[in-house]
Amino acid sequence: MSFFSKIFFLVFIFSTQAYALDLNAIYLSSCAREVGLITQVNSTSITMFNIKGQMVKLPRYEIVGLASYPLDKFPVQKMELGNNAPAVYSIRTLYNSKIVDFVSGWPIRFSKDKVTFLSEKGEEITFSRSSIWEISEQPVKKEYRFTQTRSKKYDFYHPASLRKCRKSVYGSGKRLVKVYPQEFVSDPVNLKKRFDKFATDRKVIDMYNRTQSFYAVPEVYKNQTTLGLWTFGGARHGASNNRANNWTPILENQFSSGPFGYQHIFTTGANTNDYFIHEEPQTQMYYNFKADYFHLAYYIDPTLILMGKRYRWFDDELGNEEYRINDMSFVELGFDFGHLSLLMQFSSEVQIGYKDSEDYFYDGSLSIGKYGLAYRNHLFFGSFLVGTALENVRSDDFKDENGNVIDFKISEFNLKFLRVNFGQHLNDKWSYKVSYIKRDLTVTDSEFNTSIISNEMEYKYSYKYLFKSLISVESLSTLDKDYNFLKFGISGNLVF
Amino acid sequence: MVPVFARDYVVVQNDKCQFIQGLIIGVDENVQILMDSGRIITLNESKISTILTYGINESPFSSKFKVDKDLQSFFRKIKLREDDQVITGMPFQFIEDLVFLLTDEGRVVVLGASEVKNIEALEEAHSFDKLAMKGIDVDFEEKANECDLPARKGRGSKTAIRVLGDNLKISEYLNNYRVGLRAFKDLEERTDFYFKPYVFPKRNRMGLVQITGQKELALPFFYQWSTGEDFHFQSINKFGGTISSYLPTFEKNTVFTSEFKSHFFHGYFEGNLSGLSAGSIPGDFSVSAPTNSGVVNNFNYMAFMGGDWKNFSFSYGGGYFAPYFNLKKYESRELAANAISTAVRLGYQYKRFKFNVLGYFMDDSSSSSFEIKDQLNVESESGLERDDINSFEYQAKYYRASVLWDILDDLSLQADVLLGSGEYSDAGSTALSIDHEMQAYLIQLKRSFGHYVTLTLIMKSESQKLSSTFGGTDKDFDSDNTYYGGRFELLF
Repeated sequence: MSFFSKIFFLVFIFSTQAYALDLNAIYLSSCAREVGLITQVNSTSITMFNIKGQMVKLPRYEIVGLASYPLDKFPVQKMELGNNAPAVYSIRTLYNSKIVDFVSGWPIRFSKDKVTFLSEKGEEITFSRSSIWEISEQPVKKEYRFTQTRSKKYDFYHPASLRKCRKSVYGSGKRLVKVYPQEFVSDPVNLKKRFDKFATDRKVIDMYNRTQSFYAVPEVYKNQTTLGLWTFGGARHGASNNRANNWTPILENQFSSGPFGYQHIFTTGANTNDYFIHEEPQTQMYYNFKADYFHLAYYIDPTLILMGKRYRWFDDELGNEEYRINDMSFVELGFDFGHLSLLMQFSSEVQIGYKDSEDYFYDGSLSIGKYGLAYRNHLFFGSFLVGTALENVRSDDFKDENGNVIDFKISEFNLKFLRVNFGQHLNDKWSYKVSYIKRDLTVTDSEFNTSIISNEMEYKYSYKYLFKSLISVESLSTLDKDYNFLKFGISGNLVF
Repeated sequence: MVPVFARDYVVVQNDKCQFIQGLIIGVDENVQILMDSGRIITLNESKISTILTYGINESPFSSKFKVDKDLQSFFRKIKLREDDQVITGMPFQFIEDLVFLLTDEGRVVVLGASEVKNIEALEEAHSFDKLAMKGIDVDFEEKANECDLPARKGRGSKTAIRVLGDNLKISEYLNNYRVGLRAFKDLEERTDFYFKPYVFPKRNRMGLVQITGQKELALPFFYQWSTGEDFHFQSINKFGGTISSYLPTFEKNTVFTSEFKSHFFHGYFEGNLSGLSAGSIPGDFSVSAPTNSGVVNNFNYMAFMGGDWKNFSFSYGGGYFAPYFNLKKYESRELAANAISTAVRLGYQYKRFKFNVLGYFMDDSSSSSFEIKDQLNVESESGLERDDINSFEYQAKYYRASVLWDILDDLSLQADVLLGSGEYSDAGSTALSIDHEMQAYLIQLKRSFGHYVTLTLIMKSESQKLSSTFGGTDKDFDSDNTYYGGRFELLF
C-alpha cells in the first residue's frame, strides 16, 4: 500500500464512529442472531452474554456469520447467568508496593500485550498482561447488576448481505441509537479461525491461574536488554593477568513470554553472579530459564576456551600462603513452588591457585556440589547456597632444564562454601543486594578462613540508565596471619 | 483484538475540582494535556482524581489558532524509508508496535517502526496551516461527585466511554501512554544509531567459497544466519569456511563469526576453529603454509566493539594474530600469538555505499611462561630445530580498506585493499630476521539470480617483498600472484 493510499485508508477508518467496545452478532441462520459479548469458546459451543442480559450457549456448527458493532458501553443493566457460566477471574496487581485488587470479571478481548475484561460491574477494562500479579477464580453468581449503563434503544443494522432481515430494536428508552456493523465474517474458514483464536487466548488466562503457584513473582525476567560495563578495583578472583573483568561489556538479554510463562536471561560479559564462589565481576556466558515449576541455569567462563592454557592461575600472581579461586562452569537446576526455589548445582567446577608456605605452587580445579534455597516475593528476595569439595591437587612447580618435573607434591584440598544473598527493591529507583560468603579451605596442614561481605547498590535513572556500585571486604585468616582486602567497583548500564 | 479508539479525548478532573479537557500528548511523571485553547497544561499524576475518556470520530482541530513553541516541541519530522516521504506529526496513541500520529494537516497516520528511516525534532519554526483546535462538545453527566460540573459548551453530544475514578485505573490508563511515548522516544533515539532498521543481511544462507592457490579447508561450506528485530538487538552469525571481512588477511579460514548491534553499541567476534585458544598455533583446518614466499596472518580470534552514530561507526578491539612466514624452500616460521594486537575500525555508510577502514598493530614476542617449542613451528633448510631458538620478536602494521557498492538491488561490487609491513627476528643458535612488505587486492562482484541464489566472482591479487638475514646471509624474496575464485550461495 502506498503512503497516500495508507492515509486515505486511515482517514476512512477514523472517519467512522469510534467506540470502546466491540459487540458481536452471531448469526445462526439467515436472520436469527444473538447480539452480545463472547465470553467463552470451546470446540462445540460459544457462550455469549447477550444484550438482553442473558447468558446463551450457541452451537458452533450452526453459526453462519459473525458481525461486529462498535459501542461505547455494554448496554445491559442486569446479567442473569445459567449453569456452566464462564469463570469469573479476579486480578490483583502491584500498586505502591502492595498487591491490591484490580478487577473481577470475564476476559473478552486479547492482544499480545493486553487483555480486556468485562468487569462484574459491566465496565470494560483493558490492562497490560504484565499488570497481572495474582489471579484467582471467583464463585459465579446467578445475577450481576451492571452499574455503568444508561437506557437507550439500539438498532443494530444487519450487514449488507442480510439487509432483507427484519429490523430488531434492543433495549428501552427514548433515544434510538443506530449502530452499523463494522465487519461481517461469513466464510467458514475465517469463522473457525476467529473462534479458535478466542479459545486459545482464553486458555492463556486459565493457564495463568493454573501455573501462578510456580512463580514467586509473575515475571522474574522482563523483556529488556541491558548493555553495561564494570570497572572494578581490587579484584582477587574474578580477574587474573590473562582474564580481565574491567571494561568488558555485559550484554544481558531478558525475555518473558508473559506472566507465569516461560522466561529467561542470557548474559555475556563481565558481571557479578549470585551463584559465584566470590562476589566480584567475572566474564561469563550465563543462561537461566524458568518454565513453570522448573528452572535451569548454565554458566561457563568463555575465556576458558579463548585463553586455553593461559586461563589458569600463574605462580607470579600469588603471594606466599595465599589462594585464589574462580568459577569455571556450573549447571544449576531446581524446582520452584510458591515463593520458594530449590537450588542444586550438581556440576560446578572452580579453578584454584594456591601457594604454600614453602612456595610450592598448585593450580587445578575442584568439583564442588552446591545446594540451597531461594525465596522471592514482590518486595525482596533471599537465597543461600552451601557446598563442599574434597580433591587432590598436584603441584608441578619444580622442573629440570628440559621441563621435566623433578619435584612435586600432591595435597588434599578441602573446601567448604556458604553464600547468602539478600536483595530488596526500595522503590522504583533504588535497590540493593547484600551477600555474605564464607569459604574455609584446608590444604594438608594449612587453613584459610575467608569471609566476604559485599553490598551491591542499584540506581535507575530515568527508565534507561542503570548504575551499580559494589563494595566488598574480604577477610582472609590463615593460621598465623590475617588480611583484609577492600574492593570497589562501579558499573554503568543502558536499558533498552 | 483490543478495541482501537480513533482518539481518546479526555476530561481530567484535578483535586481542586477543575476540569481540563483535551488530548493527552505527554506522560512521564507529569501528564501534559493539549487543551482546546491550544495551550498545554501540565498536571502531576497524583493530582488527578478522575479521567473521563471520549471516543471521538471528528477531528478536534479547526483553523482558528496558532501553534506555539511549546506545542511544536511535541511534533516530529518523520522520514519514511519508502520514497523518503516526510510526515510532520505528533504521537498521541499507541497500539502494540504501532504509533498513531496526528499530522500537521490534522490527519491521523499509523506507522510501524520498520517503515521509519529517521525521526527529528522540529528545530525551525513550523507553520501548521491546517492545524488548530476547535474542541469537542462533551457531556459531563457521567461524572457525579461533589464537584460542580462545568457548564456545557453545547448540547453535550459526546458521552464518556470510560470513567476512571480510582488511582489504580488512572495509573494503568496513563501507563499505556507512558509506555507508548517511551517506545516512540526510544525509536527516535535509535534512528540516530541505526543506518537502516536492520543493518545485516536478513536471509539465512549456505555457501561455498573456492579460490585458487589455497589449500582446501576441511570444512569448505559456510552457513550464515541472522537474528533480531528492526531498531533493536540484531546479529549475524557465520560458521564454516569463508573470507573474513575484517581480518588482516584475504585467505579463507574455518571460522565462527558473530556480529551484533544493539542501540549505539556493536560488537564483533571471529574465532578460528582450527586454533581458537589464544597462543595456540592454528592446525590443519587453517590456511596452513603460504603457497609462495610471503607472510600470512593466521589468527586465533579477533574481537572488537564500538559505537555507531548516524552514518558513522567506530570500533576498537584486538586479536591474537599468529603470522606464518614462508621463505620458500629456505626457512619458515609459524608463530603463536602471545600478546593481543590492537585493531581499530572506522566505518561510513552513504546510500548504496559502505566504507570500512581498519588498522591492526601487532607487537609480540616469545613468552617466558611457556616453552619456545609451544610457541613456534620451524622448517629450515639448514636443519634448525625449534629448540635451537631462544626467543623471537615480531612487530607489524596492517591497514585494510574496503568499499561495498550496491549498484543495483541484485548486483554489488566490493573492493578491498590490504597494506602491511613488519619485522620479525629470532635469536638462538642461528638468528633469522625478516623485513616484509605486502599489498593485496580483493575484488568481489556479486549477482543475485532470482530469489534463492547468488554468485560472486572473486579476484585476489597480492604482492609481497621479504628481505631476510639468516646466519649472516641476506636474501630477498618477491612474489606477485593473482588468484581467481567464486562463491556460490543458497538463500533461505
